[in-house]
Amino acid sequence: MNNRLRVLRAEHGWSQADLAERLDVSRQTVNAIETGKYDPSLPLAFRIARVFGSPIESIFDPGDQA
Amino acid sequence: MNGKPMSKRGLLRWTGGIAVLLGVAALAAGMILTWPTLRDLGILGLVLGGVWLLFSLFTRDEPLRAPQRRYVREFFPAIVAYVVILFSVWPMLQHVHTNGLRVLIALLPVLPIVFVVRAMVRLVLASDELERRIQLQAISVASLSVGLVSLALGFMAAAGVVLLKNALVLVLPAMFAVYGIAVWWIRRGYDGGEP
Repeated sequence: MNNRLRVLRAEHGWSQADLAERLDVSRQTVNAIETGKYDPSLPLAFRIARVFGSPIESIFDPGDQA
Repeated sequence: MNGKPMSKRGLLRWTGGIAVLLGVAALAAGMILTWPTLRDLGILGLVLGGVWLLFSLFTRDEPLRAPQRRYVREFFPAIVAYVVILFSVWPMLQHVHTNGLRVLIALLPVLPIVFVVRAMVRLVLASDELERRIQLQAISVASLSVGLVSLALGFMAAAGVVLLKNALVLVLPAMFAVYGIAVWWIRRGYDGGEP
């Protein structure tokens, strides 16, 4: 699954650690999601969407899996 | 605690440094007192401390999260109590001949390990979803690999090929060791620097 996490984070001027703190996850988890090594659960994906104030489908793209 | 929270690298350096210092002290004492067990423990402390210090070189200098800080607070007193009991109370067994008291002394080292296990469970429960996945994979690797080795050794012992003396005591430490290495290895697959 592709995502725009890194772009959105950069737009907000947040480091991975900043975003991790806002999401109450580890920095490693943010990094793993950004690099596509880990797909978040639905509740975490919704938390991410809420933090950025964007719809979930504008952040995550199922790509070939759709 | 005031000031900057301890980082993963700082924790590894502190614990590694303490293990090396204790290892040197035990090694020296073991050689002076000609006490082989103490000498061997000293060597073990030196090796473990050295590995810890080596790991610290490859660990990011980021602060420990709240569940990890709580784990450190709960783990270290329990493991220190375990070592103290092992070296102060357990040797009394050779002078105690009452069955009930022997059972009590024999089981006493298990008590602090119960608190170690409790700390580990609380850490896993407080971890985020990726951490939990890593922990689950590591626990699976540890339990299955140690279980398989135990099974193989058990059959060899039953066949009289090897003699297993007090081997059951090593099962849990072996699981902890494999679990620790597995967590480190699996985590590497997810990790990467911040661009």
